[in-house]
Amino acid sequence: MTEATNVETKKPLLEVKNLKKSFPIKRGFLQRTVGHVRAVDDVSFTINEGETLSLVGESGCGKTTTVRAIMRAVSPDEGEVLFRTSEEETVDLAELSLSQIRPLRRNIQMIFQDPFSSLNPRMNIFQLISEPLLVNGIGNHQEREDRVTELLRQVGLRPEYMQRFPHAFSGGQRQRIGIARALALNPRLIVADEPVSGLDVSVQAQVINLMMDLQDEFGLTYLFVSHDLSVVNQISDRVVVMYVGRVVEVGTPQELFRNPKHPYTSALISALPITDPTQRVERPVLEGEIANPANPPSGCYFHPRCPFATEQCKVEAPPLQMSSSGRLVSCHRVEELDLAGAGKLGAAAE
Amino acid sequence: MNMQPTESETVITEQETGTLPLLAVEDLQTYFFTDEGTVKAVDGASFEVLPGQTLGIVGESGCGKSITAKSILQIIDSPGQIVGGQVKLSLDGTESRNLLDMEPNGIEIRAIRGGEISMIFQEPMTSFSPVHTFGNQIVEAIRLHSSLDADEAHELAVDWMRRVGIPSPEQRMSEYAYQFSGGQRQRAMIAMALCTEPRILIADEPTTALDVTTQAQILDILQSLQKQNEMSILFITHDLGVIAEVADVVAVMYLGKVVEIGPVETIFASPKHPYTKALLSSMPTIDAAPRERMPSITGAIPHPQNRPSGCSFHPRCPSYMSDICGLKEPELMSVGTDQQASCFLYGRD
Amino acid sequence: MESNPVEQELAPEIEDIVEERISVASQRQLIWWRFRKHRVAVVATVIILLFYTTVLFADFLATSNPADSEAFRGLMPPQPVSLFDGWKPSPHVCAVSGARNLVTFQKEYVRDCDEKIQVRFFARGYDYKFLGIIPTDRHLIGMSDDTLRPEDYMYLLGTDKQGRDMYSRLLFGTRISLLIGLFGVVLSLVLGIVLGAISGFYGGLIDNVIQRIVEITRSIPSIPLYMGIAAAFPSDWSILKIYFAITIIISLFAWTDLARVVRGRFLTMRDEDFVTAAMLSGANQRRVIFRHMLPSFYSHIIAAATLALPLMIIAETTLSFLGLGMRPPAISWGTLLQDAQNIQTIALTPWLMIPALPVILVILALNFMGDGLRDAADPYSN
Repeated sequence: MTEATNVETKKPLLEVKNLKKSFPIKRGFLQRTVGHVRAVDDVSFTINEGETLSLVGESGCGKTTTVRAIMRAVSPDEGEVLFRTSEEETVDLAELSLSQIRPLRRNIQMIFQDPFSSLNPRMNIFQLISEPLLVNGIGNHQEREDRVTELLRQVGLRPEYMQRFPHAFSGGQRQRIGIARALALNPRLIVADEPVSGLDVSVQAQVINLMMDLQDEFGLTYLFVSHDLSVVNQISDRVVVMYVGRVVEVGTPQELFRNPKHPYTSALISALPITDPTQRVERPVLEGEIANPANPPSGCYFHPRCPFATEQCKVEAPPLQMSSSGRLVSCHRVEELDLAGAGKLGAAAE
Repeated sequence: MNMQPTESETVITEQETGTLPLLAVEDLQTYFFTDEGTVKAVDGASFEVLPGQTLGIVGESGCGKSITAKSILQIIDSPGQIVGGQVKLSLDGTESRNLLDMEPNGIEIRAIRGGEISMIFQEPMTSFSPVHTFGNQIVEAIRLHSSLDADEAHELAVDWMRRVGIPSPEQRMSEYAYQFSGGQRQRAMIAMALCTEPRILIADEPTTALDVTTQAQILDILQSLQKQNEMSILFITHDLGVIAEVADVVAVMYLGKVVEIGPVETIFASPKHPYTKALLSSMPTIDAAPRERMPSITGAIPHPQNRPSGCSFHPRCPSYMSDICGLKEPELMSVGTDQQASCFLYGRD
Repeated sequence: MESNPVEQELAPEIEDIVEERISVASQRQLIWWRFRKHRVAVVATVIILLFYTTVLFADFLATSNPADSEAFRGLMPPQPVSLFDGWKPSPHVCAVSGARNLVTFQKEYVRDCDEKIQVRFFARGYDYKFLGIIPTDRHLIGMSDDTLRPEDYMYLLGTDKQGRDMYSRLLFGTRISLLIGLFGVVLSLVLGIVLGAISGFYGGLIDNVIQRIVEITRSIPSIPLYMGIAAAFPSDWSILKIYFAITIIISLFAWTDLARVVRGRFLTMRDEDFVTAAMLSGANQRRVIFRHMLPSFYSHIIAAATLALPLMIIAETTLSFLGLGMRPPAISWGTLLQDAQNIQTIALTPWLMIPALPVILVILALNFMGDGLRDAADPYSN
């Protein structure tokens, strides 16, 4: 198991530096570009081998676009995506062409959110899971079949189910098939894009437990994307909190939830319903709407909703910097604010 | 800063004999008759709602909570049909009317829909007509259930928009649904539902599609409006955290039946039905230690068409008793003060 | 592992979410099962299949050579087949003799049921080649040899002005009309799929241009356009040339529906997670399109093609009816209906309008069949 304090001594597997991606907004018959949606607006983080890093945020925060840019399902506009391959060389995934990327695909695999659309309804389970093997020319038919059998067992499904089609399975089982498919190539990094959001609560626990067990057994590295803070708390070693395309804070779940350093993190935690009816508190509720990534505010994107905003916040975007307490935070007032304790959009220690 | 927990009112049976509950659902049964067979979506749901109280109905997919809500107002589409049970509405505590006796889509029930009982849904985008302005729709709702003229209704509508926290309400009246953001649409839907001052608001997963911060805002509005209007809320969700926040009484449903019902603190502190216990313990929370394995319930929820015999939870139940659980169906029985559960662990009869 | 959800632990009741049979069923089988439930569509399919058998067996089913004309037999009303002779089962038609009414100069036919012409199966008739290879003179039904006299004939649906058997002509007309439809659909399939795929897969400017072409094509009124183009055919072209020219022209206008369907499917499918998953596995573009995307199309294409067929048939029938398509002596439903264009027909010889019936029947049946296929093809309709 990885421990937060050892993070610095591990070698980084993936380093994302200043990633940017915008989508043009096109209007009219001639499809003129009238603006841009800044989906990812200068995002940087590092994932170490064997750890689980989560990207957390609400809609429009850019977490999905970030992972798609990393996987080159879309091409980044700017920035670097430095990945350490199995041959111990570092390549910049953002720079390569799609045909150069293809042989590298076996290093990074993905688990998708929707169990119903992530499996081709016209292929049976064997075909679905063996596709990555087939496409990369791995093994003959018998070896592939053995590998699929092994994978199905590992995710807790009977190998006899190989001939069945996806419509025969429940949501939780389909996600397990998706996990088996992602494991097929023994990837160095697995990106999980909201893998349990589409599942019932009782099934979520099964899948999360499975993912953690597999990680322990095979030393997997996860990049986990979720909007659900409780799930993130359970599975992550470190968490990156995003707001409208930018990183606002990075830390371990303990640090973030007990001692948030950014007002948005604090607001997120404060907004979470407490699953203890004896602890209903009157909490201040964060006002306003999530900023529009097509037309974000000036300076710090969070300033219109932030109870601690100053003139500087309206004008100047705060850089993501290491605070004196050893945390990466993007806030001008990080040294002054005391936000500790969930449920407080606390008072500034003036 | 002081943090004082507000006391939640658990008014269950604080009523004088002879006072009927505001809404009493008794043994509701709604079946869907499809080509593949009959799906018993709701198969015997019973609960009560008292004035000013919030009843939370919680359950996972296939449990029938949404169908239950829709059955109350008789808005079930074919091949679904309400085949049994009673839904008794009593506005004054002494007389009650059975809503299921009314003609579906007749005058009586239409007066109740949007009048005494209003409903809000999960997906606000599809709840509004895309071709009518928002003002148009809310004024129509007001005028259908009151005798106000157009101008008075307009004033009232703007007032409600302000109360739910929509900025520049006058301006928004002439806008269309697609021009509102997700959170604003939900607020608009609340405004439209509450502008006729209903006694009961049925909220079917109103915050499930919203971000966490928006959800907090909406729950806040709902609770303050509830206090102002002394309204009851029937809150349907799969999110136990939200239930803990808003509900006074909780009904847990599984595959069409209410398996446990009781005051919210009791249900969370000492759940009696094995499903409730398992559900509560499998929920990830932010208090949990990291990388802790949450206990999960084995297996998956069966398709309502393949309902197991006897107690429908028995194949997944850790307390399964082979001599009875697969053979007989348990009924709701008292397992504590004001708490009921349908499980043979607490009595066989 | 603490709570290992391995399936072995589950009780048998919930082991299978659906029956074994359904769970190993491929998509094609599921579509077939869904289609089978749509009773009207199944009946319609049977009807269509029956019609297409006449294409193969037109000669075998006919009773007389469709080109045989005898002026003095012109405009004879249909001779119904009676199944019983008194109490005896003996299929026969009554002999007919005709004479010209010297006052009105009209032919009048009199049935003389004392003269019975026996009808039997596998009777002898005119010579032809069965399936184009085997020379024979046996037909499905015909007049029995025994009581035959040279002046006896059997016209089940009457004759036209030139004394040709309507029934046999109808069979041959069916063959041509249905075949033109089929060739036309194949051509427009190719056009539609290619253009639709390019449009949907690449998007952007190409998509824009192709869609505008589709819209312009669809907005041109078809009949005046066909008339204009058909009028440009040189009058000395052989029937076969005209046949193919018409097919090509009709296809040039009928591909638009298919192109839209294909484009729509490509667009939705591009964003599906499983297509992304295929790309991320390392498959190249070709494999993603052919192995992962295309199989989802087949059923939609078949459905769209089935719905394009009536278009073709109506187009050809209309053109020929107006005298701009197939011309006599070619036989198609349209040319047959040319004879039905005047009031004399409606008033005096209504049996000449019978060719309209198969047109209606086939179009309706094809539409129902196509609807059934389209409904069955949607994989997420459950």
